[in-house]
Amino acid sequence: MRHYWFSVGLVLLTVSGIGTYYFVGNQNHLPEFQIETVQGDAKEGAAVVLSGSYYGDMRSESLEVSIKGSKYYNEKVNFRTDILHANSWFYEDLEMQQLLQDHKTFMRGKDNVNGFYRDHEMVIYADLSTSTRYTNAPKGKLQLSYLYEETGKVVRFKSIGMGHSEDIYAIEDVQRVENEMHILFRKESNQKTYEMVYVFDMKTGKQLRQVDVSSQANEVRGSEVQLTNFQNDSRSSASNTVFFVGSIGNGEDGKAFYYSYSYLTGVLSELEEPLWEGRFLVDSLQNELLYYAEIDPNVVTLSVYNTKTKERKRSYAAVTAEQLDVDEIKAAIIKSGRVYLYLLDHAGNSGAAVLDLEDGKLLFKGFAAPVNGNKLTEEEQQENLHLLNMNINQKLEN
Amino acid sequence: MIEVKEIRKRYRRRDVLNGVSFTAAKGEITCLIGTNGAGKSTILKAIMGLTPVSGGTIHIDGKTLIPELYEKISFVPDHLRMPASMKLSEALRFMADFYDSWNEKRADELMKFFRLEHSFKIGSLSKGTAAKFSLVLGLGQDSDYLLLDEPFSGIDLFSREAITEVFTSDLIEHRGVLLTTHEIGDMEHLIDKAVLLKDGVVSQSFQCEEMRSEEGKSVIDVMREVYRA
Amino acid sequence: MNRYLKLVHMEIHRFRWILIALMGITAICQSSGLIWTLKKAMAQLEEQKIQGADMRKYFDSVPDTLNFEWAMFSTQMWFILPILLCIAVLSLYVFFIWYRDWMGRHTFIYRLLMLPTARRNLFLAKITALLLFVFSIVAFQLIMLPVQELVLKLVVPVELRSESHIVDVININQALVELIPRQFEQFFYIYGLGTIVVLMFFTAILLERSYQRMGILYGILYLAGCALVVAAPLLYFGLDSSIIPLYPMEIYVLVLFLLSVVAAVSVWLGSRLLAKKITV
Repeated sequence: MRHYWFSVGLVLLTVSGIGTYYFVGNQNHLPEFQIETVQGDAKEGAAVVLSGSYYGDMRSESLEVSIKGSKYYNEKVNFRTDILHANSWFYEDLEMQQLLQDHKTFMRGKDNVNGFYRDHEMVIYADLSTSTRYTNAPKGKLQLSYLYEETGKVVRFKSIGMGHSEDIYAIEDVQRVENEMHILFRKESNQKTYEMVYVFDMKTGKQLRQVDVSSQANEVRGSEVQLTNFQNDSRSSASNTVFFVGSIGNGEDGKAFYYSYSYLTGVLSELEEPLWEGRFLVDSLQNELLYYAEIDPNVVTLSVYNTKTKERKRSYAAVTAEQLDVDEIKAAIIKSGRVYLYLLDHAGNSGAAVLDLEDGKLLFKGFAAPVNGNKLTEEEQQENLHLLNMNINQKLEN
Repeated sequence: MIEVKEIRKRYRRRDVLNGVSFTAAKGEITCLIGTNGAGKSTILKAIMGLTPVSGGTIHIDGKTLIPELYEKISFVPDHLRMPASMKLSEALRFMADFYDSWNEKRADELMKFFRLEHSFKIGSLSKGTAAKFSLVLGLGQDSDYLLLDEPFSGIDLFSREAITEVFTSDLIEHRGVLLTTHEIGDMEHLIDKAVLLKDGVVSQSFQCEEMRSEEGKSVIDVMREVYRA
Repeated sequence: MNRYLKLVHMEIHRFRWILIALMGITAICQSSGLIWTLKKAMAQLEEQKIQGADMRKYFDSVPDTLNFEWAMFSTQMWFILPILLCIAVLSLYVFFIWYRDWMGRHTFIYRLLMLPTARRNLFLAKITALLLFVFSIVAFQLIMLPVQELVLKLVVPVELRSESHIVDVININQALVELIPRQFEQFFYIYGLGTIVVLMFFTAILLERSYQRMGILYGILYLAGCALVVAAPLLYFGLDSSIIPLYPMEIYVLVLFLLSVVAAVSVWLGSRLLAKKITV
């Protein structure tokens, strides 16, 4: 036995060296943080994620902080997470999460949020066939799938010709109008973009007609208007109207115009009044209601415009930095009936507040703070923490 | 008994073995004779599982070759085949470690008989000394069968005498020995059975004693007939 | 099992001097580089103190307190070069561990093939030994780090030094950050993948040894085939697949499964080649 000592020693060296590092040595490397609730219901703050870096001696570490705690990017990432987070932006959308839960097989292979339409009867998905999707290939092929919710029946149309064209198409919206399917495309041709609606017969998948939305805008204005589709928060919901922001010219001196297009009539009309006014806006179109928030370091003001009735409630609610007892309101996000505010308090720490969208009532306020116990004092940790961004990460509740 | 039936082997488009069949019994010394390149070494390697055959069967005591059988067969190849930097003592320990059938006492006796030092390095041995040590490694096993590939080729006279002495001792008596050579020379009186290979097949196979008494021919006489023709 | 362990020991025993040399070179090269850097830094600190604060602008200045993280950053090459040497030697040994048994007049492969043990054990012993060499060098490096920190504490007086965490020290070194991943799960993936690649090469080597001239071609085809099998889910079954789109979790599981299959097939094929097809 004694002449095996080298091999046995080698094995012991290996196990102890690697084992000690991974189970002892690399512990307590970075301090933990979390968003501490200062006021309100913690559940309202659950979706808030603040991201930024923690400054070490010579390098900084990217991290995210939420109510649950902190996650450092480098400690979180490995091959498995790389694979699992492919297309994570698709899976993070609440509507997509719901669809995945309801119809996992139907959802297989679908990754364009804009291509969905869902009403009480069915789910429609339209997308350009993979082989020609981002190419200049002529005759882009459209694929349609319908899922009838009650029966679970699936109908597919595999390759519907788009017509002869060297252009690049991207799907922006899908709507069903009785037995017709209207798809809004953004077409790129000769370095210009156009908005077009193609109408298909739902039963046969045949193309019925095309509506050139951009040219309607150009006619009204007498020159080329660049249209940008203004999306409803809920991409897959049924809505007969779609909005556009148009601009002529570039940069600061370009003027902005507002349009609505009705799938029912096929007509693009210019709106008499702009959808919103003010600078530094964040907006959210929820069906016919357009909510918008004007942000300024001292105050955030909420307004709503009903696109159907044309009724506008300007500044129906306002929340000041003073009321929140912070130095600065840095940003806002409107999502799912809530207004999320990104705040900087008097000590320079990052935090968030959640307001109810309807009345501006404060539902939650919290700031990032160290979780106890580490070599550095809490002050030093806080000093090294530099959070810059806020994201809202919603999960489907069961 | 080692039974070789109709084995074939192709090597680079040449049929080295074209249906070779013979037997080697326990307690007998069988000699495979053939010219250079006749395939004698190949047959031994095939029996030892060191090279595949493309046809035919090989049975040792009725069984096909499985790892356990290596306890029962030893092979003394034409070169020593141990790492050059190894000492003789380490080589002996290697054998002791891996073979249950290794007889350490006998190995030591043979080392003394051949006057080999345990501290010699394999790489420093002369051809004759290496051949002797090879034999130690082969005979140190309590094996039933002993295969030897050209045991005397290129060996000096005195080493040859020492090896021949071992052949006639009781170390060999109960084993089945299969050896190859192309120069029968002074070995003739040692062997019991001769198998002559020509053109990839067994041309003649006979018991030496019978051949001498019945037809008055020595092995060399038969060789002349077969190879000169 | 017993004979397998003895074979592993034999492989370790044959390589021990090279392993010890690699560890020794690593220790000496890294430690002397470290000491040299520290001494230079301390001299520079003296200069900076004497010359006053504005000198900072002109030199690559040295921080007021030295810690291991900074020292590692400034001594990178001295640390990385021995690591590269180890990688080179071990990579070559992937081939040499087999070919050395066929070399020269003393073709040891005869003896190995004649051992009364399943030929599979020869294959497994070589992979085990090679993996052990790799992991032991990684472990040695990990153990060296606190030792080198101690060296730093001996060289630099207490008023000039500060603490750093071993993870920061590893991360600031461009080679170590790749070889010693932060999470144990990633360590498993990287070295697991490396093991499977070595298994593939072993089988390719045995194909070469079994088929003479065609052998090299078979070996290369085998490697290409394995790579394609494992890459297939990532290339062909992703979200935009026209064959069958898979969800990310399914792709992950499939990739793991295929990697295990490739590993198992390599071991099986290699063992079979050793048992039935190998020729000396």
